[in-house]
Amino acid sequence: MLDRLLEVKTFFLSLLLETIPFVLMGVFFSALLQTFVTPEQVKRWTPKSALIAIPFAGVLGCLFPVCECGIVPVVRRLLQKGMPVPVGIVFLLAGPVVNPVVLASTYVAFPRLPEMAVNRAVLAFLVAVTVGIILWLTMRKSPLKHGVDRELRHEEEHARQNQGKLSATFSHAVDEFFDMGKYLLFGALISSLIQVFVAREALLEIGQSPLASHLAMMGMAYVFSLCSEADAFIAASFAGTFTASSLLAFLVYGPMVDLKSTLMLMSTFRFAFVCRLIALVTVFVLVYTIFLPL
Amino acid sequence: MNAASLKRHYFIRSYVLLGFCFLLADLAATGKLGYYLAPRMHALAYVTLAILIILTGASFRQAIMGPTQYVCDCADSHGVPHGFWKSAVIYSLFVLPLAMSFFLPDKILGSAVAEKRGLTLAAGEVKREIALTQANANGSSSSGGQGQTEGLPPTPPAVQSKASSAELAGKKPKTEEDIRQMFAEQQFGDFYTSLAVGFYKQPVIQLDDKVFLDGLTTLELYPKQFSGKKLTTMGFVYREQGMAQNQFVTARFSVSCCTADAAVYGLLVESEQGSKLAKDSWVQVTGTLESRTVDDYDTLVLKAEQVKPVKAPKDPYVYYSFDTPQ
Repeated sequence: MLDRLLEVKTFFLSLLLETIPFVLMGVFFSALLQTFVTPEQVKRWTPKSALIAIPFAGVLGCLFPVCECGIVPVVRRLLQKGMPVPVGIVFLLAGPVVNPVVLASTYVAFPRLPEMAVNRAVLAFLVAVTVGIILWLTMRKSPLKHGVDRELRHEEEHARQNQGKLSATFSHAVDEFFDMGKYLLFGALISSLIQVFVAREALLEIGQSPLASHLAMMGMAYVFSLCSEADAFIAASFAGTFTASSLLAFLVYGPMVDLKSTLMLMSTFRFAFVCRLIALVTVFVLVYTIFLPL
Repeated sequence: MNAASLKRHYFIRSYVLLGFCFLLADLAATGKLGYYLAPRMHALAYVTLAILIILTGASFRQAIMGPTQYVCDCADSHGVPHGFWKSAVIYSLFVLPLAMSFFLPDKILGSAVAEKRGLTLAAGEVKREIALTQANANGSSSSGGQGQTEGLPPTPPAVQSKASSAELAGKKPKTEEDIRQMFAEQQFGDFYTSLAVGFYKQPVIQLDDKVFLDGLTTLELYPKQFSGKKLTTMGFVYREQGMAQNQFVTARFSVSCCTADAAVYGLLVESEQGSKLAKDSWVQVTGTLESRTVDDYDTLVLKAEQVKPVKAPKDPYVYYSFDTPQ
């Protein structure tokens, strides 16, 4: 039992050590946005028509290569600066996949299947844009959690008062670190417990039909909460057991939603909205990876 | 929330941050960072340490100066948890990794995790991808167990290698050109061809930490050619259900970012004393490679001639080389 506990420790600490740098990066990037970008600028840069803005957000990750741990604070800030919610969500979903760092690592992980990286980017883009359009058509009220709106506006006030004060930026970074951190820690802890106590086969034994194998790979992506930079190597280790399309499901689904990012999303968005988002992403990743001829 | 309570929160946070600084500094100083992160992530950990030190300073400053720094009536919305129990739960979540780090010994991954992960015998990733594309081309999805090699459909290179092995039996290639020709025939790319040629020229193939993953792949790509060659390798003893008494695997974990993405790779060894070795103990094995055909699939087994217990290496994991030429 002690050994199991030590293994939990190994996974837990290593997930944290890997993730915290990126969360901090996101926090600081968000602090920079806070200081240097005004809502007017965000409004001006975001294309007027949603039908242009949504695809534009889908490739925004190429300009800002943020991974899934760092993107939540950034999107939260962009939303508060006046970016329309569907556009922000598209960036949230596509950003961690459609970016040069992640695609390069995917390319390295699959030396014999270079099309894997391209397919991954294309699929992630399609899923994000589809979800974005659906949200744009159906969403009526703000999905931000009660209080988040006020909190963000409030921070804005401080920023204006303390303009140019570095210490204020750092204090807010501390606030945000603890705010995001509690969800991150909880997610990482659950993920490491599952990794130690549940065998991979348990997920793999679900079945071999296309639907079941896609679901199994997506379930694994969800639970493992790997960084989108590293997950391609894990996918590669399944290359013998699973078809390329179910590996793609793993590679597209994981960075969009996983255990630890779900909890981080809940720090910002309403519970019902997070559920709806996860449901939409799940359905479209499944449908696209099964039916698109990639 | 009153100022005193807010101050208390800020102090708790400051000490938590300080704890994280110590955790990182300690791991970096003792060289144990490698137990958790792949070398290419270490620089990032140092940057994080620097940022955390700054944040700790900012947090203590906030705690000491108090909320007076903000002249506003909004103390409630500064993200500190409300209520004793809620605070207790949240802060213990932050203290947990610190406590684990300072009070529990560091443990390198071993057999227990390997069982959960499922072993990949010889990193035949490349070969499997070929098998996979083949399977897709045939419109059938490949079935199989837990990342094991048994479930694989027969690979086309196997057919090819039979031809070249017949050739091999006839005459041993002598010159470098001949050797290169023999490996290049199967068209697995320049990188694996060069590695294979390098291996082939060694009197005893050294499958060490640096080439472990790529080396295993190379061996698995050319099982017939390497059959009969001598090889020495090191790893921890790992056994799986269904293995014979005298069989074990010299296994290594590969880590690409952090240990959460660790995967197990290894070479199957057969040895008289195989059953006597404790699992998770580290051994250096020297022996002769033998090609076997299991389910129409060529695989290599190391017939051990010498098994020497060794100390666990300082860096127990093996890594993908990111500058691998494609």
